Amino acid sequence: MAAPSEQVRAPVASGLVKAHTYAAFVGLVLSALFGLAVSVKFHVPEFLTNHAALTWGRLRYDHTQGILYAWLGNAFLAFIYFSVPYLTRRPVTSERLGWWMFFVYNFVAVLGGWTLVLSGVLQPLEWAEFPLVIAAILELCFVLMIVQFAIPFLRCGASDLYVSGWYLLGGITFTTLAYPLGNIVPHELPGAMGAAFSGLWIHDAVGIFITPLAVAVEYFVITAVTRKPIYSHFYSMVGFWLLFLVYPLNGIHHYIYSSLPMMAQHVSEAASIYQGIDVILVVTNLLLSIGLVAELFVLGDVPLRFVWTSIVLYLVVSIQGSVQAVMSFNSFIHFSDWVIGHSHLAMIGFASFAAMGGLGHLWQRMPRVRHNRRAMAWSYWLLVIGLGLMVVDLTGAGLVQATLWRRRLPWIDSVRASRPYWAFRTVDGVVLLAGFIVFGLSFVTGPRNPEGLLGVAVDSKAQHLPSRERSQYWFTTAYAATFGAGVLFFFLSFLALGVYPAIRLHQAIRRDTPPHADIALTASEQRGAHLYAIDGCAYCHSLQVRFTPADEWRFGPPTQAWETQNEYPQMWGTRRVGPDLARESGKRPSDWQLVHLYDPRYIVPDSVMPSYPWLFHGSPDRPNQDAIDLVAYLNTLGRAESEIHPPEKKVIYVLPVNPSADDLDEGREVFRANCSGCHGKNADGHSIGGRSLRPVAFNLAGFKLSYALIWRSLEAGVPGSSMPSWICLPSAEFQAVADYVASISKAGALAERQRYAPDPALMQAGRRVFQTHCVRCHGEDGLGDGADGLRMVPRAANFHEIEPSYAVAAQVIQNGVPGSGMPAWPLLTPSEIQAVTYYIRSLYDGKSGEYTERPAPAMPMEGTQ
Amino acid sequence: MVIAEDGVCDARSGALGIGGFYGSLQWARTRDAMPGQAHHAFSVKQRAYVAILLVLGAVIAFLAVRTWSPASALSQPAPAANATPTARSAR
Repeated sequence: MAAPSEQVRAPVASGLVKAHTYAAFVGLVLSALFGLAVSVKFHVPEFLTNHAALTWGRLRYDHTQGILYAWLGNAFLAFIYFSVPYLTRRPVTSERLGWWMFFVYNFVAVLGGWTLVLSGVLQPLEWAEFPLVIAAILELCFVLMIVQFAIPFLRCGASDLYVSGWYLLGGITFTTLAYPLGNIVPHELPGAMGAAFSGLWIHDAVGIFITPLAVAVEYFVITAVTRKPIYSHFYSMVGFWLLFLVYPLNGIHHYIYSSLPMMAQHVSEAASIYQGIDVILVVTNLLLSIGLVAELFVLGDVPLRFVWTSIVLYLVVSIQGSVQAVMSFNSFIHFSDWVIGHSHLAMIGFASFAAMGGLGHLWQRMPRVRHNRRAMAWSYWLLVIGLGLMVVDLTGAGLVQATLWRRRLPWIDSVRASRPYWAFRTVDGVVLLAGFIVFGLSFVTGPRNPEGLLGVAVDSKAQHLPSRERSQYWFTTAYAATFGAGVLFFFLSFLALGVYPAIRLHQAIRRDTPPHADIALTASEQRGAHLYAIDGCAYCHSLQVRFTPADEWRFGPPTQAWETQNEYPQMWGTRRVGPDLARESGKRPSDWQLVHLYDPRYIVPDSVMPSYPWLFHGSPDRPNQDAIDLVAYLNTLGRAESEIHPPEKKVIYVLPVNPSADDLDEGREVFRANCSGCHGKNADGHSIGGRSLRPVAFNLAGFKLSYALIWRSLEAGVPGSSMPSWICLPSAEFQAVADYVASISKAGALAERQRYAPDPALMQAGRRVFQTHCVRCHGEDGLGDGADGLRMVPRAANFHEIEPSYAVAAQVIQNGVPGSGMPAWPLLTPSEIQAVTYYIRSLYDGKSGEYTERPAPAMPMEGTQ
Repeated sequence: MVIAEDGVCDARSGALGIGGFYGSLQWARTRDAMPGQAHHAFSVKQRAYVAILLVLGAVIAFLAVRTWSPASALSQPAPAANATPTARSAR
């Protein structure tokens, strides 16, 4: 037998390692740029808004898919190509296959996926946004990865397998099985049932694709640098098995408090806690493996420093994740930026730092390449600082948002409060991008490594085994166990969190669907749903009201499984920047939606929502078919439920008040923040948004309004108009803005010299004009109860609670009110208009509405959960 | 020149016996053995640490699941904020 030094060597496929490393950096920088653009849009909403391809949603899709596949996928593939020969003493199956995979993975899957997403061909499934055709190609790549990397393990003939090998094999096997679940199944199973499978993949993408590969890197680099065995193989094995048992069971914790079966939610909650326990064990082992040499190696070896940081942050992010899954805490923090901070901590702090440690480690050993230790050390500190700032920033933003959402405040208040955090997040992002670039530069600058050949001596023991013996051997060794672990635990999670909820939901849907529920979508509405999907709307506006008091108060009844049975795929969402839209039907008229889509800041000045000008022919009143379809879809959200259980009518209670100057100042501020978008800064209805609505925004300054009318409109909105309910305002602000509106609504008297006739004559002529032209709508007594007026939405004006000024009345009579039942009366003469105005004003008594003492303060929601 | 890392992964010897969880622990015994030992009985300290973590996980998971149920959540009082705003005296 040949001496070891003369044995056949298993070379490392250096070309593939380099190619995937370079691809990883290109992917990282591009993905980070996508993320940076997304971040800028939060505080500069008009940034890159003129083309659908650059809208927030699509850039966001490319950001996350890029980080997952272009960056981490390539980085881990580079590491696997490097490490497999060391772990197996065998080369990978085929370098030719490797190059084929490289081109397909990067130039077809990643580049093709990015391009298709930007052009609107995508699926609105979290961590699965690339369209189905790309998903199929990626699945093919995963299968080929098994061929490429599992065969060396099978061939190596070693009776055991270092723990890095366990994680590599388990991760690749499991990912290949789980990937179709999140990508394909939601197209076949609707709504809640699809959400169960989506949840499975959302967590598997991180827990089963990324985590095992990152832990494999950590175990590998630690022993390679310290040149010591790990602290405990016992811990490593228990940790491995726990990870593959409990991680896949976490999935549904993304949909806690939803209509998914409570048992499945509890399983995911318990599994999430056990996941934290597992990570404590793994991290204990990893840190003890670095052990006493920590000071020497963590400070001296930059890749190990990346790995050490990754390990520490793995612990932090996992404990954080476990806590987030506890239902009582989840009810508070879910949908907020806290979760975004958590995901950045996971994908950068844990996964990317591990990948960088792996790449840095292997690059130091690659022949003939440059590596710059100093630049890598600089990148480490830039990334630590950038990430630290970002996580603290987003965590703070999440706490603020979660707190405000539980208070009696308009949704837009949480947006306003978040803007400084979002601006700061862009600064953090720039620091991170700089760190990524410097890290990449450390691979192409600095001294050049010596010539050489990477490889390891082949252990040919297995090659000499008889085939029969070898086949038995395979079934009794570690790689078989690892492969079995992947398959077994995959099916366990598939049954527990996929099949079981689907069966229970199917039963619930059959049982609960009302006989005449209108849940089918028209062709136009279906096209609208597609637009909602491809522009990423669900990533800011979730479509699920949860079973929590805060959600029910703010949005309405919780979303039930039967309502979602036509959602292919589901768009429940896991994040709220804007309000949930699952109960949007009937809340706002279509013209409001159109203006809001054309430019949200026309009517909500502090909105950060992107504009969608490509849905219009140049102005909000000229929508194209896409805009009409999208609004049609919005009007279906919650329609079936509201038709079956119409919202209860509220009773109006009003207290007359005498506001102080402070009250009016406060009211002015509330008005400026919430009302001026439509009604204009001067409350005269002159704003771009207000004039675009139908009916146009009300000119508050041109009418005197009864206090009851103001109160009622604020409380319940004005049906048929864009005026929403402002019941969400705190009591004090509600009252203040009511007082302010009452103070500005004026209807000045007519100067003596402007009169066409004495008062009695004006009264007589006005009554005659009114009875000739106005009673059909406004009624005999001007109460707005005429035969035609009762059928109008919004109702015809009740002149006992609305007193127009002469100037505004003339304007309205001559021009009509666009979008309402009030037509123009161009043939009336100025004297007739003055007369009828005089008569109408005489009707005003300002006393309509109920005046009832109410003792109870209506205060915020804290403490109710 | 061959840049090799022999011994890096330290996992080249020892018999696994059978696959699966038990087999992997058997393998771990061989790997955790001291020089000269064929097998290694996991130390009490290591076993205790694992046991404590597993029990701790079970207790926390049990308590977490018990803190919430649909019935308890839906029986909570309706948010006061659902009521109509009232007089300034309520501030």
